[in-house]
Amino acid sequence: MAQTLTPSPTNPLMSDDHASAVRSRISTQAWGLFPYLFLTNSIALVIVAIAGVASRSADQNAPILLWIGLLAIFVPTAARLLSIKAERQERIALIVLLGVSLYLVKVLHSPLDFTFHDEFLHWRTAANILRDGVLFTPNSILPVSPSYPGLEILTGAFAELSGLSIPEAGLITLGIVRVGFMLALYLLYEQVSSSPQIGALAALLYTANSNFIFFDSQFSYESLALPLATTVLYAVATRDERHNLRLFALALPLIIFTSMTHHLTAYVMSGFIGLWAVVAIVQRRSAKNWIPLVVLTVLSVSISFGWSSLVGGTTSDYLLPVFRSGIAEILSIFSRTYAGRPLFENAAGGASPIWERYAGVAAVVCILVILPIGMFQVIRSAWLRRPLATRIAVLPTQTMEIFSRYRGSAAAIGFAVIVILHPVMQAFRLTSSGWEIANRSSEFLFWAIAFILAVGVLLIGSLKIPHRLYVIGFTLWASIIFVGGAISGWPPWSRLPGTYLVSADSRSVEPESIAAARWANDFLTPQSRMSADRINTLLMSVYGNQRMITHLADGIYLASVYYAPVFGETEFELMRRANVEYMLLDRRLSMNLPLVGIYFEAGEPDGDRGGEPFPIGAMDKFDSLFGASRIFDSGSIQIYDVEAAYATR
Amino acid sequence: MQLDNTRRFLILLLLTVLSTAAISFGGGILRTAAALLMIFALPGYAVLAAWFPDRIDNPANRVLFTIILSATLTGLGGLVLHFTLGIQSVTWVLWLAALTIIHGGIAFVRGARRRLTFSDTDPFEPLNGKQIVVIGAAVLIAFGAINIARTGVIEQPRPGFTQLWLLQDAADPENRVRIGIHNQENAHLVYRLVLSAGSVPITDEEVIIEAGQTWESWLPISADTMQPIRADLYRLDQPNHVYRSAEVWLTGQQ
Repeated sequence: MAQTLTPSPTNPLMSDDHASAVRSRISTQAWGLFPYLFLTNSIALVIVAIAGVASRSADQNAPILLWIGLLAIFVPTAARLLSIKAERQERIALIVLLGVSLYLVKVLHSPLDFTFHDEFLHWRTAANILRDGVLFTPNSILPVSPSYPGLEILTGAFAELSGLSIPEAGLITLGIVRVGFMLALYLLYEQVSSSPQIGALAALLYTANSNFIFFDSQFSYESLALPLATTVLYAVATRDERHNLRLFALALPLIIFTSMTHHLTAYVMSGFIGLWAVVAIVQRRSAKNWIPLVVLTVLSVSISFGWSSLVGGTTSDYLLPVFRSGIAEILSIFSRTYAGRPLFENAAGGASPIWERYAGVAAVVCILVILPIGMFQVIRSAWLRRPLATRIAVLPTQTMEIFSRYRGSAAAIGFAVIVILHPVMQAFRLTSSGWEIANRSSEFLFWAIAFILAVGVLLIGSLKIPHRLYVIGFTLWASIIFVGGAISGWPPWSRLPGTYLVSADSRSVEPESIAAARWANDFLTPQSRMSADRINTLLMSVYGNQRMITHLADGIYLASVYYAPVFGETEFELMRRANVEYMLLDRRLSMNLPLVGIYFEAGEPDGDRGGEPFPIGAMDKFDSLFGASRIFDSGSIQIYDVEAAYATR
Repeated sequence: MQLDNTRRFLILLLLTVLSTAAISFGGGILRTAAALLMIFALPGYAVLAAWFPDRIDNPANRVLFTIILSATLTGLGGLVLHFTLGIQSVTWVLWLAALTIIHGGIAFVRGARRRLTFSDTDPFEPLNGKQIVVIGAAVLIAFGAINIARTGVIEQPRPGFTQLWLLQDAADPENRVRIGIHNQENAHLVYRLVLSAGSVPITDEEVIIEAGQTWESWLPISADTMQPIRADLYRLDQPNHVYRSAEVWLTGQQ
């Protein structure tokens, strides 16, 4: 058990030198290895930065450097957090350090501007708020984004008051929010388990979810909503039955803000609280215990769905098709009419390195092996009405007293129930459309998975295993989960910056396209109706201030016009319906297949061309289109003024 | 951390006033720091102190709720301002300062009634000298990493390009075209620009443009022609290959 020394600097019998020595010893113990791990993390970040520079020069060793950097951040922290020597203060500091370090890995990928696909979508909304001074201005590249403006309001306010640009303000905002996120995770897990050790290990394991390093670090609504929702769960976990009104007063603004920040997070958060309430009722806890949970569930469901139906009207159009196609594909796999999505392969036919495939599968196995042990311990603990952590962590008396109020924790059992969904979600990874559901569920399921795994790991530690072997085994196991998570969440080509790739999101954002968009901003009427491929649509919207035509906003796929070998009446009719003024051609599309699977938009007609890249002949047809003016040419990119070409037909 | 109720209120008040002044009149890092305080610290701390004093005496709780509540109050403020005064710098400062001062005042009154002195239940031990040095070094190295990444972006080897554009002049669309060239080839280049209407040449000239520079011109054109105006750009080092081309139909031609 960690010993706490009581400082006595005011003891008149103690000399100043002695008192100073005592203070220093206490401080050394309390902070433990934190300062040194801070140092090693910073060195690891330098390695990650060098990996980025090497990758920009197409150095083949860059990915190795990235993995060395990532493991140098994760492994020492994991080993230290397993130790019972670490005090609570050190654990909290290490968890925050880990979260911020992993956030900086994403920052080092693109330190000057946003370059990830989803970041442009929200950048446009934030820019609209700054420009117009009002919310809910339409955003054609993601119509649902203005309906959930939480992140954009916050970043916009910071940009407005600090004078920073939106990307600068966004990077700082997400960094601060990440500190809150890590604290909320640790405190939630500590509260539910009454163990600082479980709290820290669970928070550590949470960072192994497939979206933690990149997806939930990008300038996107979920990156803010997750910390908010985790804080709500923590507030609920610390509820005091004597002061329910205080809980509602604290949770309500947070629930409202979560609901106006991200639809999915708000729904899942409501589901967690609801499940919590159901478990409390099933456990036949006192009415005082479950009534506040039921009230909170009703409030949370009403607010999140209320916001979606009143403000975010297009949410269901945006989310439901993904779920529908995913479920349909799963059913097709069972009926053997669909072979399933090839794992570890990209849409252009490239495959992940062999070791990554093994690591990805090993991570799933590592999770599935420990989950039942953790579930068993949690459920048994509740059944026996015994403190969850009695056998697996040494608790101070004060913590034990707190635990007596929450024994047989409804939250812990809720977590144990939720992890059953994990294998189901893995099945979705076998489908093309369902892959996104599986991937996007990771950060939510890991709320529960991380906790159950931490309980399982510490239960194993309570067996008579040599300590050194236990630490090495745990560190290896946790590292496999961490590496596997990073592998399955983000494809190899997108983990590092580098040279141009066709339709590969951040790897397709490069100076020629940005310069073309800036030219459009300077020379074309703002908000002219323009059509372009997936990447140039983002750039023309954000840098070019053009009103991009998309299927999401306009219900029209102009991709058909691009794909058609010649212009015919169908193409003119589509252009007329879209009222398009300018069409942008990026001739690099014909160089290769799109790495993200599409050249223009999800669901584009004629998109599947049997493994053939975009036909260059289809681009040449624009030059012979009577009435169309090629007003801009920068080699790869050409912009055509097409309004006159179809208006007179 | 031990803090007297009155002193806490005065510090909150002082920070709010100083932040407001720095945002209104300052610049650079000072203004950024003030904005950080106003958005991510002061309102949340004031509300926490006023209404949830039980959550303020633990450092981890205090930091968590200060950040998250501040962000929440800013976010909800955006909604309030959207429906009332509009979202601008002034209204943001008004909203955030008012929230902080009002709730700070409530915390002060409630604290005075209960004669509260604030001290942490589970205080964090301060860092000693050696630890501060190590952490200072770590922070410097982390900034070094960011600097390496930033330099990497700026110095990334990239293919150069030249932009050519040809537009109807907005002021006189039927009689003038606007033509421009932007050299982003990483070196100064000599171009040959040929303008024609169908097979009829209009101009043929050499243009020298330094790297990163733009050349632009407005050319009078007769709207009588039924052919589009075409611009072909050649590099003098590749005289037989059209490097860039643009074309514009004047209004009324179609």
